[in-house]
Amino acid sequence: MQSINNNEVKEGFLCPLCLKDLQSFYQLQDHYEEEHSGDDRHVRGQFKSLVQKAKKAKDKLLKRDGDDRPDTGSYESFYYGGVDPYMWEPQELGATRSHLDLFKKRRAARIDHYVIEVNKLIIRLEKLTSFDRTSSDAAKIRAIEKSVVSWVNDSDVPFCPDCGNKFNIRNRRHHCRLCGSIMCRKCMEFVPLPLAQKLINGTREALCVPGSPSQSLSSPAGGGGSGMGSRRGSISSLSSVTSMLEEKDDEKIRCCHHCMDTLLKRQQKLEEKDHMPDIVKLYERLRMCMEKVDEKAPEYIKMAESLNSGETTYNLDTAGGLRLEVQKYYELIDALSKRILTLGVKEDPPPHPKALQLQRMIRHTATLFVQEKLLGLMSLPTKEKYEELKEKRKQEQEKRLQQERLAAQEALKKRQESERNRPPTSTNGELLQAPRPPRMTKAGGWLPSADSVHARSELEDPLLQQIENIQSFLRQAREAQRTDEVAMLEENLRQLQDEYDQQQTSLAIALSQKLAEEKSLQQEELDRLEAREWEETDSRK
Amino acid sequence: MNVTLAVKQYISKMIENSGPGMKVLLMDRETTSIVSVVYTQSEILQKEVYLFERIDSQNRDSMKHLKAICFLRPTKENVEHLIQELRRPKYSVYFIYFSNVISKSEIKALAEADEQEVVAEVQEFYGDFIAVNPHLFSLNLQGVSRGRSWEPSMLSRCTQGLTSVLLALKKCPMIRYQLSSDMSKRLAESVKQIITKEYELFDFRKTEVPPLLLILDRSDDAITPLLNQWTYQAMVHELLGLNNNRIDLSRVPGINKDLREVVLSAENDEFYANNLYLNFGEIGTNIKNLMEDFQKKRPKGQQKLESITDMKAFVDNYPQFKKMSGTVSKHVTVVGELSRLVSERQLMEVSEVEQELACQNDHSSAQQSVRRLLQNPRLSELDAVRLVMLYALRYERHSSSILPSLMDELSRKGVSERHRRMVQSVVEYGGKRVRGSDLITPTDAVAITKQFFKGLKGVENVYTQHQPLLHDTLDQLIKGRLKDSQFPYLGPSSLRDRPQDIIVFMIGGAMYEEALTVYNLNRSTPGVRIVLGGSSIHNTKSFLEEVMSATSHSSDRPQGSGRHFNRR
Repeated sequence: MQSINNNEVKEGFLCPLCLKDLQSFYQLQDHYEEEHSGDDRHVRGQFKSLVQKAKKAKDKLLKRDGDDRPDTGSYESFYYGGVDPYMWEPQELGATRSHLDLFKKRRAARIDHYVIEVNKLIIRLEKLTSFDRTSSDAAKIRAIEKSVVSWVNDSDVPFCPDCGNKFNIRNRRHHCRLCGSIMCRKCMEFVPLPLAQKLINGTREALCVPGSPSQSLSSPAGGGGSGMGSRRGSISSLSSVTSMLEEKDDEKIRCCHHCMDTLLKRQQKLEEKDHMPDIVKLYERLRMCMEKVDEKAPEYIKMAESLNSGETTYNLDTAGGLRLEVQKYYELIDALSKRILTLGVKEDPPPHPKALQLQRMIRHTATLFVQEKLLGLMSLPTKEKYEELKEKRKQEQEKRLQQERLAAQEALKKRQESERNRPPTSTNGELLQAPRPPRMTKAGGWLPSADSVHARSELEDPLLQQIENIQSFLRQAREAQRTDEVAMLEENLRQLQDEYDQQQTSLAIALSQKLAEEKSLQQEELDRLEAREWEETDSRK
Repeated sequence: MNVTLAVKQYISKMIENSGPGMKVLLMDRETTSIVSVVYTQSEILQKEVYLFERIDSQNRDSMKHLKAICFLRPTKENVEHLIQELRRPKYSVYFIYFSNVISKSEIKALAEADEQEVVAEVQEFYGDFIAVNPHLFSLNLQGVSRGRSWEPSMLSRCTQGLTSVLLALKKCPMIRYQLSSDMSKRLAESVKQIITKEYELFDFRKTEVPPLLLILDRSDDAITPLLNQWTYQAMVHELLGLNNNRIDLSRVPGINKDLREVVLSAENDEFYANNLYLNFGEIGTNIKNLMEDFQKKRPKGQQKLESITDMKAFVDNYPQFKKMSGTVSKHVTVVGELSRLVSERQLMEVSEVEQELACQNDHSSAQQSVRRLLQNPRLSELDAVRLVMLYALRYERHSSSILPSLMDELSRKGVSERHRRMVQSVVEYGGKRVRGSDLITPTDAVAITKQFFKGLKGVENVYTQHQPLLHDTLDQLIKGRLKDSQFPYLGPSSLRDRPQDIIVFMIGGAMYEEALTVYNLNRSTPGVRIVLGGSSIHNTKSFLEEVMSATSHSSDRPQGSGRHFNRR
């Protein structure tokens, strides 16, 4: 049941530094101490206290009905084998259906039509602007204009097709110079010459048509320098200056609003083509820095972890250089996002609120990114400290080796002694079971008794075997009632178990369960044997 | 079978499809809720989505350096807005995703509007529901019925929602429905119709045991929505109102400005995820611990900022620190407000009597308790009315019913006419005449033994004795014992094995108490996965609104066929 419960809480116990998934607070703590023990002491201290507090909270939470259960997740004990919806296995993406093919087919048909329309307008525009309008008289202009596109007959159109007003002597008909249709004055629009020029040139460039009739672009500031913005203005000024009967368009070409609309869209597209706003440039650099951090930081963390535990796989200076590099990127990210934030703030017409919002959001994201990633950037040991760490690690390794050797020797001694001291009667029961008595090997010492062999076969970890061995030594020593040796072996066992727990965090639960079972079994057996021995000694008296 | 994940995957796929670069997410009113329930802002910011806009918003500037991801319901208005948008595109390129099936003619209309060739993708991604929890979805629909039949627009929206859940989970189910409810049958048929029509879409890998869709009607269990709740999520909804995982705390006295509206999402709030199904007492303890941790941690961080190492340690710790401070103040405020309401409205006493009414079968003691509580001047109007409602439903046909005198008591107490009328409406909505199942009878021999065993275990809590009817229904369904006579299959075929993947839909709204039941069933039954959905997720207040809107029409309408159906 313990293992089930621990699976339940699997989510959430991620190590804040390396995001390794650990299954309980205990393991997280152990993991932290082992993996990140060389980190900045304060960070570690704070984390440790946080973890401990959280652990306490968790314990309290689980102590229902004042019941002092030590393990996690006991409140889930009424559930048997079902699965928490949060833990349901990953699933594939739901069903989807694409309409893109149909869409493209439909669009293609439409686009052809549209492109032809636009090109037709541009060609006509070119014809309309290819002569000197200012020096020609109105009649001549009109003649040329009429030659470009055939005008709709006045008599065919009694009402303005756009607004529906009736045409009469006061509300006169006007022809669109680009398509020849009729509209009233109110519905009429004008293409300023500079705009026309821009459209023609732009299209020509786009189509790469060589040898165009050169056109003087000398008057951009005059007529409609501000492009579409001047449209309304030109209408009002026009009505005040010109008579109702005769008009001469020097610097603009009258057209219906359908044609105007098409032209304006075209213009917008031309403008956008080679315009890249500052924010995009800055943003691209920002993303590049972020990618670099994503790439370099894990590399650095790996180095730092290794160095902090006193290993010699990496060079301290290389790691230091990498650290500097990553930090530079952080600074760059900060600076770039700050610049994005303040883009255009001081300009006179302030940017659209949405543009400002976009800038704020980018800055916010960059800040989150730095905050989150910077935490993982642990510090490196100083040179002296590193030497110390190396030394310490060496010592630890040696100590461990020594301990193992010592344990083996102790065990050997014990076994020899107990062999000598053990009264033959006490092994009475065991003599009947041939494989059970301890055997001797070259190395000497207690051998694991046969009852644990089958259990051990599934446990391939050498440490685990060691633990098993010590346990069976312990049991045998207990049987032999050598209390001093029992104490020593117990000490040994404890050390081994600590070690094991640290290394095999993910297996720890299952193991401890097993250990607990075995211990209790052994305890039972021990009790039984003790009782028997008492009986025997009693009966011998 | 995880609905939250299903929606999340759809959305992250949309974002992924659009490639790198700054993005804006264009949504409508409903898809905004759909997205905001499963993703937090910071999560989605990390995917380079910086702006969130409504398609119908006029205040959008042209920003050609942004890519637009449109996630829209396929409604007429949305298509029209989109056509306008494409005629004058404000963004450089458009990735269009509809949350449900869209007609060919609308695709055509859109294609013809796209003269500037800005559309790069047109797809159907079936995230047409609000994924509240991994096993719980809602359609946020209020007032689905008129009398005992469907409000027509609601039927089609429920069908869309339900089919999109099936598509998102890739399930082509067999359908069972509650025979006593005509609405259940109509919805079942409507869903079946879509499955038949869109058979290509529903062509999924066959599983050994086909999935099952069970359609139920809220009116079969009108008691559950009337009870006060004691688990965290349910209680928050009952007392404060959870709307797309958000609570409005602006009415809380002396509230901090940052906490006017808070988000409770198990997806990224660990405390909430761990406590959502725990009861109030346990949460109290947990929140105390959380607060203590926080307070212990804070001065430590602030005092020791003397050396550079200290400061660095603090900065290194800062994101965690800040996150924790947010969580702490949020939950402290919420739990504080809950406990203020509990004591102000004396909900412990109220709940005890409610549970007695719902679970025990002792008329004389029940009527005494109700009378006694109605005398209490601190009892709120809503609580008084719901006690009388519970009594009226529970002892509807009892020979010595004291309902008239309780009604008198209510009017003496100054309870508004509107609320008093609701008592009658609730009986009309969920009374014996309507019900198809035994909502009340099992409180006899079997139930009493059950009670007895629970008592022995010592885990039973007076305030959480009640098990919703849904628990029994699902329990029998899982064991293969749910009666065909009450819950027939739609169509000729039926399930021979026990069901494994189950989707339950509650017309008229589900409750968080039922969500808890389903959660526990999922955890206790190996091999079975259940997802619960409702036309909405109710608390008592919204449930009563639903009842009022359903019953206000019924008097002038002919009675639906479901009413005449004979019950045992």
